[in-house]
Amino acid sequence: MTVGVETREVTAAPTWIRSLWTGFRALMRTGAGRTGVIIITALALVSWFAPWIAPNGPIELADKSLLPPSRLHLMGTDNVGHDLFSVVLYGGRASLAIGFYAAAIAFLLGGTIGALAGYLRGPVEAVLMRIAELFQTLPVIVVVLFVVAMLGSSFWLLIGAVAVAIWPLEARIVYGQFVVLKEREFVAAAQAAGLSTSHIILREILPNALPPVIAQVALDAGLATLIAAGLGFLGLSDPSIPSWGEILNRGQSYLDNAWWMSVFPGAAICITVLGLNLLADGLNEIFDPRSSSGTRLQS
Amino acid sequence: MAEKLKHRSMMRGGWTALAAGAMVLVGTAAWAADETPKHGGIAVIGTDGSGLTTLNSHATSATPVLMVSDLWADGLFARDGKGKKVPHIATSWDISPDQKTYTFHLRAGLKWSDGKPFSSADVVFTLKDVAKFNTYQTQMLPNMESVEAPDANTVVVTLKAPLAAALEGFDKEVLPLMPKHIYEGTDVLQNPANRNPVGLGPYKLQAFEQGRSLTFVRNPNYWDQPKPYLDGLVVAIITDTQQQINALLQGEIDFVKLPYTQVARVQEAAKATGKVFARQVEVSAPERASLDFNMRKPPFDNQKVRQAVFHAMDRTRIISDAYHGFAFLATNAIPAQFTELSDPSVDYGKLYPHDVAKAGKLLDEAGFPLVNGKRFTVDLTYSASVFNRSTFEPIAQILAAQWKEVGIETTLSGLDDQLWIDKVYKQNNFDVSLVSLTGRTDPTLGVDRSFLCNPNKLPYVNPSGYCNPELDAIAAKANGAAAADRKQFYKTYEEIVARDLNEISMTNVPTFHGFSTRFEALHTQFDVSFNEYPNWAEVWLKNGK
Repeated sequence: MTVGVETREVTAAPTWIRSLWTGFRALMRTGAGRTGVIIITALALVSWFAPWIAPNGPIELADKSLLPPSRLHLMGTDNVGHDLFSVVLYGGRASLAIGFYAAAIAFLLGGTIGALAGYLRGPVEAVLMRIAELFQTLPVIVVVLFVVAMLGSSFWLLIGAVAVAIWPLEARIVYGQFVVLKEREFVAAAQAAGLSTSHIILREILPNALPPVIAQVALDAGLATLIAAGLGFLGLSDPSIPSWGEILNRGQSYLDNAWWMSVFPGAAICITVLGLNLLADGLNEIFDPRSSSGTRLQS
Repeated sequence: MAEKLKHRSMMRGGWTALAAGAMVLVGTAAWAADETPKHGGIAVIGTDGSGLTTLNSHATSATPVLMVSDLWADGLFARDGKGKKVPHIATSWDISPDQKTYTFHLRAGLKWSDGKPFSSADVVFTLKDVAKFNTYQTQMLPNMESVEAPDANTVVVTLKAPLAAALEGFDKEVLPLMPKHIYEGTDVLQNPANRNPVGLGPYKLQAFEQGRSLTFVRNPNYWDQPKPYLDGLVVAIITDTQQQINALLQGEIDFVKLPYTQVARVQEAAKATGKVFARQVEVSAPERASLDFNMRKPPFDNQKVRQAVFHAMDRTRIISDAYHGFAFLATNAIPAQFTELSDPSVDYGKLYPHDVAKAGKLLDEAGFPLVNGKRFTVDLTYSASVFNRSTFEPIAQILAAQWKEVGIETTLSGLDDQLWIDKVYKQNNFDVSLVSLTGRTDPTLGVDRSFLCNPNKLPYVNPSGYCNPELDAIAAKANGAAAADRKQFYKTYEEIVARDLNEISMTNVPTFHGFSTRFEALHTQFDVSFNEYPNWAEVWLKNGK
């Protein structure tokens, strides 16, 4: 018995990594997925390395206000004299970080609830999934607006608010995977071997459930990024941390005399949304068994 | 007629359309080429609606509430364009030779907007039971010995000691009269009439759609018939400054307080189209953008830290970028526009010039050494209501950048109006608060509230925890002295504040309004020399529509 367990533990991790790798390769074979991955990776890298690339700090008053784009300030300066190029780079950091963290928290929260509901079934399933459905009936943006209006907007609060709003999406997909996988032979075998529930959930089912969940997390990261940009545009983001939506919001008042305040952060949002949508298209394609690449993944 | 008005209103926007359907119409539209005021028509006021959870301007001095209060409320007197007091509910007043007794003679036979009779008892009630919540009355009320009504049309106010600016406290904008029959025996701040007010003003509220609009119709009981001239007024809540200005330029609204980012745009449109008009309001003391420090806890319990952050800031940047050049540097605690009272020899420009090295030295001395480029983090909070945010957010961003140069990290908390008031004035849970405060017509009303001891937790009244009996004594002397002697006391006042800095006055800021030229004879109608908002009873429209 002990031997059997050890064998599974050794083989489980490479299996799910391999399945992810297979998925990634399939994604890269789709035109949309490849472009999306390249765009998002490039954005992530540029944002990550902002402190080394940006000529100025994100809140530093670099020069006079409202200077047009020039060699010194590639994207001009904003209404208080920040170097817009620097602010857009750092803004990408905030926007993408909100997306990443919110999706990660939503995955942990929703994944746990979905896994428990899907594995334990019965009353636990009924209660947990009704709670998830209750949250799902609330429009995401309304939940976030409510939290921000009540508690003010700080970086982590925004992340928490977005995570709270999107966790049911994760919960439902993990739940679906668990309901299906629980009936498979290897789970029955693990149960027969007397393995603990947590072991079966974490080591047996979860690795096999991951690929579609990862796809959902990627999509949710995009959704969270967009919500964050939307909140910024509505003037509800954390003003201490520059974000694209927030600059765009400020830019409205200067459309007549400083087009660059709207165009550059607007373009950044457009490119991100484009990248995420392409990524989502690619993921849809490989997980859809009716598509050719979907077949490719399954083979 | 109703159909015609409805059609017109719908063209001008949804708010008017909403109002028009319900309005009782009495106006006529006869054209005449003279300047005789005409009756009729509806005007639309634009506002961001912040603070409009109450319409009772004793409970808050948020701009939209004050603006709306001018429609439904009235007071003992108002001001004309030259600052002269114009009798309103009081026909005249006498001041005793010892300057301690003020006798107001009231108009007889007036009625509230609900038809109930008005009398001196209402004035007494307002002063005794409602004014205690009023931010402008914090110095005046404690000095009041008694308020009596010897007859139905007379009110006698007796002061403990002469107060130079006592009369200023009875202006309609700082003491709107409230009906005793509605408020007596109730919790004033929770009374439902705060959202459905009964007043003596030219208009009365007909409908209040939260977050959308307020509709006012002519008050048939208004004391100054045949005014008001308009059939009604709609206060449209537009929660975006850009949209407010678009609405003004497109003729959807007729009046709005202009954000500084938009003044130039409206001025240009005025030249190009002639349909709008931007005007600087001639108040005696413009607003002062100020920073209040929480002196109850570190780091701002330390005087050197407060002085250091003053040295660390370059206020000219705030003027150029947050106020677009429309503001000017504050000289000291008493706005320089009180020319008879402010002593410019106490000059913040000389006392606290922008000096990063000096700021760093003071912070070192205060026990906050620079460690890895950082000394400490502070929370800078401000009201992020639509109008305020357009100015406060740039100011906050500029301060955060400038303070970072001396190692102070700043977290910006732009909050909804009510949350900010609760945080700063009720919970006192803040480090620095950014606010813009009107000086009103005398330091007693608009300035003392920031610096003197404040045992209560009223909005817009000294939230710093600073209480200096020495300063309070000087303020009392300044307030009680003969006009010619006040300046010397205010100099000491300025010196004490400049030393202790519980609040830093950064800039003095004029107010700009944008008007539609649908209004006829603007120069005579908007007598706003001392009152910040138009006297809407005087307003009439070309052709009466």
